[in-house]
Amino acid sequence: MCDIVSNNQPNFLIFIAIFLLLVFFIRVEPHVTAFAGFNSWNTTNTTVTESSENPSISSIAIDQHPVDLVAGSTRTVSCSATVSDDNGIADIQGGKGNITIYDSAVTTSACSANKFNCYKNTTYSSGLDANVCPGSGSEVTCNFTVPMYYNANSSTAWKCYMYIEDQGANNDTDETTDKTINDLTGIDIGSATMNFGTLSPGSFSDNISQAIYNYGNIILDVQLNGTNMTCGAGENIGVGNLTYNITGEIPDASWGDYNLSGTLQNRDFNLYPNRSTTDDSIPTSPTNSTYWKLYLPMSQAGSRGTCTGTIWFVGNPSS
Amino acid sequence: MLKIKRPSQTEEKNYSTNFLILVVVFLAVILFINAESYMTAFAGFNSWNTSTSQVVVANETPSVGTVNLQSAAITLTAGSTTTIGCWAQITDTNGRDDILTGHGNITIYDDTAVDHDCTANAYTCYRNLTYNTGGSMLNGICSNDSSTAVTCNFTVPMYYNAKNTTTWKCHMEVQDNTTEFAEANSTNRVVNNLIGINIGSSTMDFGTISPGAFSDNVSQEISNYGNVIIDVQLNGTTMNCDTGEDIGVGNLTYNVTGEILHASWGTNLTGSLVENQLNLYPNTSAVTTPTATTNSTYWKLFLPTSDQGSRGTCTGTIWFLAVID
Repeated sequence: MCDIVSNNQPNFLIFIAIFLLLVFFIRVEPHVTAFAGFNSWNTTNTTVTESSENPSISSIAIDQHPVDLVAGSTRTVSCSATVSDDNGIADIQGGKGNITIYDSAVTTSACSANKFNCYKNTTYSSGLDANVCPGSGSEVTCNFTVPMYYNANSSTAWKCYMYIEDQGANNDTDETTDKTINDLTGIDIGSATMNFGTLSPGSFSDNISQAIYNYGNIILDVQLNGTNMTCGAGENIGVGNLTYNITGEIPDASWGDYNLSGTLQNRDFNLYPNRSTTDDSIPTSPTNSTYWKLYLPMSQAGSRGTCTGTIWFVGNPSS
Repeated sequence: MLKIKRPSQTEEKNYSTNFLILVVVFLAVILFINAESYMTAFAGFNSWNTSTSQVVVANETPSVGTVNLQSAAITLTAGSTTTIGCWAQITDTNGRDDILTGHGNITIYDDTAVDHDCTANAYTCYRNLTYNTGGSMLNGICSNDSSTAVTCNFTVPMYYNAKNTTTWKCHMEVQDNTTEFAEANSTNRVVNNLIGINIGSSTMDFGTISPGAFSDNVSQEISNYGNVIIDVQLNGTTMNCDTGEDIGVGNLTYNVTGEILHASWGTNLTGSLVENQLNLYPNTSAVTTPTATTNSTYWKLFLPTSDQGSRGTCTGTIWFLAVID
């Protein structure tokens, strides 16, 4: 008995090896034709056709709500979603798609990219791959990260929309619920120093212009105040001797429409944010000029030398 | 002998791992630096901003307004002083303190004799030397008119010998605190002639004289306390005696040029004014406090004999009256 078993042992091993080889081939290539010919064993062909399944988008989300933008700069905003396809991740990663973050109050997901109301991922349009939608098995996570500019529309209706099309041209869409981008008041000025030159007491300076830029996403008024100008010697110059117009230059030897004071005074500036929808380049900030003069009052205190003060420009949502 | 040890496979693997870590860290640093630079570029934005307002106040030249030297011709006081004034408004748009902490000169001078840089003297040049040094409120001679104007009034005692001309002026110059300069002159002002005289002794005592004899010479000094060359007119009265006969005025005799010779007559005094050529000049020296110029006259008395007995003490009056030479 022991001998019989012992004699059959090589065949058994060969059988096991062939079995394993068959299993391997079947798994790797279902359509491979089995070995032809005759033997003490035989095979039959097995065939199968895998259906092309629809991809499925789920859990689409924007990482911030509400979004607080940054004046004159960008805020990184991400939209991500899980995409599954029973045909496996290769079916997704070999496909294409797009993700659009847009303000549904003023445009649609078919919008052209711009910094005001439409941020699109052009990478997805040219094809997905493991870099943009990494995953494993039948599920990937697609993530669209975008620098959102300061002029993105202040709205409560921002959405993230995703379209995915797999290799088999099957597709799915989904979008988030409405998200909010908060109001952003952002202001900058053209000159850090307003130099009124050299003045004789009892006279007005020339007009000095000061540009005001809207680096936010709302219509701005501007609030102004200032300090007395402190002089190197003698009597200081009262803040009320600074006079300004917000609509045009001040006529010769005249006071402007407003005199500066020590307390903030609101002026209807109505400076709109950049709302351009025609290009996707880095936005420029809209600007308006203000015009300033200094009246140098006479004083008993003698020569003053150089006098300096501070003027505050505070952005304020236009009412 | 130098031996080089080949690293083991484990060591080589560790080296590779460390190298990769170094590369990753390096790239991370580069990325961080770029990101930081980007943010810095936007750092100026906010919901507010400030601008520094700046102006340089020009140093303006002061201006001297109309300079006034008295309001009419100046009449001096014999042997004394007369206060005169020179004033003008000075303005500086930098403020009156710019004037008051500056410097200046006020000079009252005779323009025919000197200029406004003259050295102070009573005859032709009066200066405000205190004003020269400036100081707070210009030592009290300036009063505030407004924040940018003061009126400076220089008053000075003008002496009796100040030159009698029609060309006295007041010159005012100002240098403000920033060395800006201005000056102006008044129009001409007259200093009138002043005839001033004084005598050395209120009593001319001829002593005790015997009838029929001359006294010794008695000198009487005449001083010019005015600003013109003077002669002197003289007259007198009869000398009244305690008793007996009075002494006629003609017995008083004088010389204006030197002593009367022994037992001789000079010019006899009369009851009427008689002018004598004294030619006594005023003080024209360059001193700030003048002294009067003087000339001496010499007198004798002849005591006539009388039949009325002893006269006792006799007294009379001699008049000295100055006139312009």
